[in-house]
Amino acid sequence: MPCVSYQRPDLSRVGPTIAVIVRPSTAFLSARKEEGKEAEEVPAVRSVMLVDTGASGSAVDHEVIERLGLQPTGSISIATPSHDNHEVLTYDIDLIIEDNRVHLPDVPVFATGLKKQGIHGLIGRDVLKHMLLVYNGYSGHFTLAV
Amino acid sequence: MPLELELQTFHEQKDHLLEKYKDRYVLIKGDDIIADFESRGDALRAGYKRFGEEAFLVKKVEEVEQVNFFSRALVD
Repeated sequence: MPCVSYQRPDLSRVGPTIAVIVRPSTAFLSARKEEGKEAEEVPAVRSVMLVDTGASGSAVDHEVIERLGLQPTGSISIATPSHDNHEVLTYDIDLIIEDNRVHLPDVPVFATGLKKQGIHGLIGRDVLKHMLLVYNGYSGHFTLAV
Repeated sequence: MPLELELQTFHEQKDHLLEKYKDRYVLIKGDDIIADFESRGDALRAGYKRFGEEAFLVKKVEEVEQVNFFSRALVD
């Protein structure tokens, strides 16, 4: 099981953030390959994402979706402290964790404003269900194993 | 708004979809229900193959859609 430990001096303030590469989904790239467009450059966005156990789904900043040029392929219902249930569009992406190259394909995310919070995305429990997360507040480190 | 027609189609035809495709994934383009699939991945691959980089809707057919909760305040 690939495993990475992260040391964060300000873990309690910033939270467990990781560097990921976001790119169009495997489903999208497979279809493109069948059309003979494999040789075209695949766009990718390096991002900092917060592992958020308070989020049942995952999200990225609007800018990430714009830079990848993605079209929506779904919708989900979300509820936040400031908004009751409402429907938002989702996009499917691949996430590649930079430190261990773990590749998570076809992850549905919605686009929201996160950049002002110093992050480009939230990794929610829909992704965490495939991982082991150990958060050690005493020593200021956390571990992700996939 | 992207997928407005597709979402309208899904909601208008939900009773019919529940009868025929409960717990499966449907692929919708415009007001057409193109096909149903066992998995979301299969539906996505079929959608990209058929519609390329155009928007299309893949939606699970379930009686009550699960709500995703976020403890963080998010800006649309």
